[in-house]
Amino acid sequence: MIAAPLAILAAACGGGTSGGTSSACNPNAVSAVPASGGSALAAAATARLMAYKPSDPVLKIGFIGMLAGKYQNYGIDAKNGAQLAIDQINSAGGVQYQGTAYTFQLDPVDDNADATQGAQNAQKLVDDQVVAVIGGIFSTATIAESKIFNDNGIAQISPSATNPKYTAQGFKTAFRVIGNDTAQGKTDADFTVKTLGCKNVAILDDKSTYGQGLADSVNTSIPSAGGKIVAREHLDATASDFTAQLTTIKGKHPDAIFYGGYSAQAGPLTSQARKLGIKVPFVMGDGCEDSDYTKLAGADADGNFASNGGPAQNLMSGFTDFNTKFKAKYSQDVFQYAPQAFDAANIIMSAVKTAGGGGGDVKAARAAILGAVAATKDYKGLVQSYTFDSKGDITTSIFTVYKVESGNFKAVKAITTGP
Amino acid sequence: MQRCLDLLTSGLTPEGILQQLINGVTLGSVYALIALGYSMVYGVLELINFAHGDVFMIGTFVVLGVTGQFGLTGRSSLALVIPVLLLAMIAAMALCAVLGFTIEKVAYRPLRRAPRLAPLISAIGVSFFLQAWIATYVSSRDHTLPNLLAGDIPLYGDVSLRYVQVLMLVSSVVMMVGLQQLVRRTSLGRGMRAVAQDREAAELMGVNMDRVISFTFIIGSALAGVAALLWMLNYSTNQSIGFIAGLKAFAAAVIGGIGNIPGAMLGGFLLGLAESLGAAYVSNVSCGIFSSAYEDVFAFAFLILMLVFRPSGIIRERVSQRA
Amino acid sequence: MSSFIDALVALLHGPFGNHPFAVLAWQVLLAGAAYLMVRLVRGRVPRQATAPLRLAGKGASVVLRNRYALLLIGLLLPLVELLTGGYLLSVTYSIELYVLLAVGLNIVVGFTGLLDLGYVAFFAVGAYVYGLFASPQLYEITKQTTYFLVAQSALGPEPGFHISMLVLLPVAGAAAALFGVLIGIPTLRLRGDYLAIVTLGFGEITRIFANNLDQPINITNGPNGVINIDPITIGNYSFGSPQNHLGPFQIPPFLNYYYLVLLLILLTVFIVSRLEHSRVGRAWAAIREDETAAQVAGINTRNLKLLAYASGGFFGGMAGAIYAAGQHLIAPDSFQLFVSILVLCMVVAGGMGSIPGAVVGAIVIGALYFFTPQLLYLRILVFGALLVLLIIVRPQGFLPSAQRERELEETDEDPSLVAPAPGPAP
Repeated sequence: MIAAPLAILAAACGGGTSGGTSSACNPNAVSAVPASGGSALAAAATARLMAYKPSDPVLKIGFIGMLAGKYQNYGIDAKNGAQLAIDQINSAGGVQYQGTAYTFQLDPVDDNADATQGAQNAQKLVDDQVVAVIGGIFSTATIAESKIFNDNGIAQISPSATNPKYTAQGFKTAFRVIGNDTAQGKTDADFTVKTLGCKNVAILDDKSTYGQGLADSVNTSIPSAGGKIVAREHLDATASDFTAQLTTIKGKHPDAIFYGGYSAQAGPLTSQARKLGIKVPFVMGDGCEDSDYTKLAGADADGNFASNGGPAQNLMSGFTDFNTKFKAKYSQDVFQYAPQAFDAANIIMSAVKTAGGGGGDVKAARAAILGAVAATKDYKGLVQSYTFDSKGDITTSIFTVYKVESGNFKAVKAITTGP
Repeated sequence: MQRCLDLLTSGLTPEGILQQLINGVTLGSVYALIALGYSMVYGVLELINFAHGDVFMIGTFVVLGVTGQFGLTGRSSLALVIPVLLLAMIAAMALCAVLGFTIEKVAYRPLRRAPRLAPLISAIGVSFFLQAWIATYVSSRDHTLPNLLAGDIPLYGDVSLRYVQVLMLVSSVVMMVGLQQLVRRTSLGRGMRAVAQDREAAELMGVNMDRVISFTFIIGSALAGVAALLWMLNYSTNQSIGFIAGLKAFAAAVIGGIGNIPGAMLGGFLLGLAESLGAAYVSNVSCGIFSSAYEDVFAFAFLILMLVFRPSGIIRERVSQRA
Repeated sequence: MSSFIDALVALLHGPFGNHPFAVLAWQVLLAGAAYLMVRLVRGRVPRQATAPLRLAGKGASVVLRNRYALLLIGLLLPLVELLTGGYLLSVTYSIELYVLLAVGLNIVVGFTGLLDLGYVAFFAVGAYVYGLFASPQLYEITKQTTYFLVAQSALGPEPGFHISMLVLLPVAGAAAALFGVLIGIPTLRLRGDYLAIVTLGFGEITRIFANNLDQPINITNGPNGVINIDPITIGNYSFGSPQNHLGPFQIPPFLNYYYLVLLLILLTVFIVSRLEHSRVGRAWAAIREDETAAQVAGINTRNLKLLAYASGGFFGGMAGAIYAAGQHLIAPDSFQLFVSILVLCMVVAGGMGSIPGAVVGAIVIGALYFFTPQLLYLRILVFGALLVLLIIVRPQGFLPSAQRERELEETDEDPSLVAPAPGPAP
């Protein structure tokens, strides 16, 4: 009851020069940050101006991802998920370790899904003395950021970057709480060939890091699932006319088409396919399992499939509770990766519980958290139970395939991979 | 080697080729309409109006706005669809025309006597401004129209020609012929030809140059408004489509012979075909080295080859002999 | 800073609501009011009132034109920035790379008058040359050939090529220069707008190839980009290592790269200013002013135009190589057309054909761009508007070269100089 307002106060200060228990906030800091607060940038800027006090029991957790722009929904959603986890812990009095109560503060920065800006803002998080990082959201930027975090020994948990390369660089600091493309591609291939019974599959991708990565993985998994690849085509993510590729695919008479890419193209792509008389279903990845797809494809969306990481929301124990709190706080539904980011934040905070927060020394805190995160075993999160392997991937991943029925995605099959 | 031969013959079906030709002509008809605007402005002012593609993009958003206002769906009756589409076209033409007029007045007219690079840089500025404006104040996401005017005419095998495609083809040809008549027969057209041939002499002969140039922009932009409607019937839009569509339309204008109206049309169709056939068969022809991902390269490569080997275009310009 | 930005956003949005037409109406009102203000104020403000402003401008101009003052700022700036952490420095370093690019593009656009909208291609070529030959990327290819054995024995135990920057920097420059010549040859006859559009095409083609050359043989690794690029290492000193210390002070990687690029900028500016005042530079200026006349005067316009592309490309390629080394990962998405336009804005804003102009233009535009990421599309909107405004109100840029300024004044009087050049030559 007492801790909650104090924690909020500390967050409002942005800098958190004071702990949840010691003296009141610096009034100057409060006036420097507009009362409307919330402005992450203002908070971060203030934070940088203030010296980090060694006795400070507030630990900063960084968040990096696209927070404004075309794919901002993904970033903001994940940020909100992480914030929710932190608020819950803080309002319960923080995390106790050897008599010290650590509370947490989220420090969000925007990487615009761009490698250069990602590296710059990763550096900003290092400056801000964060002890661990959640993010990035998109693979290319995440890989660029991972170098900076590795240099500084900061554990980085991505809620959504699925490119296998991210954890294959030999960095001890790179983790993710979602199955990678290899696992998802295998799932999609199995679903298409075995569950749907579509033996002849055409594969199309948008030549983006994400789209091609997933399509390549499906490409390798289809034959081992007993299917046959009848066509492999690419389109340009800036293009609007996909009929040339679709006509080629039509001539190969596939039973299903796998598309690796985002809903912005998948929607018009589906419509154009139907107009060309292609009636077979599309199977897609998590980049298409959203309301943009059903909106853009309109009536043509029905009967197509898209897979996504994690169990269906109604199968996550505690999701209803999570969503209620999420909605109460942000007045919107969970979009995509908020549950994964929520779990990532909790993994970091529970690492503090086992290994401590460095007792005021940021370097020690980073090292302690890194060690404890790497040792995460059977951590029961909202989405699933997590164990990291030596690379930083999760050993078991759950995927769910959804089908569009009258304009909405409905879960049709859950698939668990790994041991 | 055998693999390459197999690749060459596989996938070459008559249905496939016919369908690809239809795809190409459909795309080309929109390129052609946008190309007309480029060609007219270049013919009169010798300026690549880089912002023209973005005027077209704004047109697609006007079409979206109008059709959204009336809540059209794929099941709406023709009695509703046709008047609404006509209204959308008129609105798009009007707004594009106003926009084109304003751009000329604000960004190009003060630079008419400036060094040659100046208006081009100004045009790039306008183009970025318009894209960012839409992204900031309207939407930075993709949008489509529902499937309107569904229905088709069966042609051969399972290939058919959709009503929308017929409409696209017919309207672009009608627009071209109309424009050609306007340039040939009206006094305004005479003024355009005069300014194109020799700006100063035309002014001395009493042609109101400012008016002629304004009208050129208005007509070219209104055509982009028509193109916007046709585009939305078949494709999707976002704030950045104008730049790419504009570049390709410019390429079409150059290929056909810039400053030449039937040339722009021909260039549009040729480019549309080159893209469709290129994306479809490049893999077969190149033994799998190139894939359909190189689609955008064809337009640029076509343009570069054309400029190098036949810079005056397929149909040499007749409006005036420059170069 | 952020409250200023919020105010700007609010000002541009206006009080009429969110509907696009409401915003538009407000902005038209705003622009009209601004225009009227300028009309009203123009010529009516007494000279004394603006004297301090003009004095400040003059002072700034003197400082900015003084290379020693600039150098001093360049040397000390990162040390000041480091007091606040590494972020400011990392952004400053990005701006620095753009300075290098702007000085390079200035040769092509400013000196020679060839509007190149595909300059990013040179940057990309340089980046990929370093990326491919200083990372494990080519391991898969080399593994399949006997070449691999040679590479393995000669270049150490790590897979792939790991060639030193000392070798690769000139190679990257040379590769980009060669690329410039290759682009130049087919476009020699093109002028003005046509050239702009063709170079733009080449820029896009380069990016598309980088994005697609992962098939049939994986050369560039496609959209994923080249990963695990080696940092620059000279002797035992690794630029990318966070463990470098100078006494008690830790030297962050960005500081190493900052000073390296500063050194390169100094070298580049030195070479380019020598070029400008040489026979070559004067010939370039002649081509810019009137290509036909230059040809008649006996200038070999073909070779000199190719030389302009090659030298512009060389500096762009070097900037690319350094970028790749500092970046850990390069992906085709980093080489969008927008980079070309941004560099062009810098050159135009600084003053075409002026080296201090290019440097200052890059710093001002770069700072505006890189320090306002939260503005997102709005910063592009402001850029577009600024570009139009600048070219109309002050076409000579912030710091025009003296010669160029004279020419611009002359053209006001002599219309024959501004008659549009023909399109493609017959």
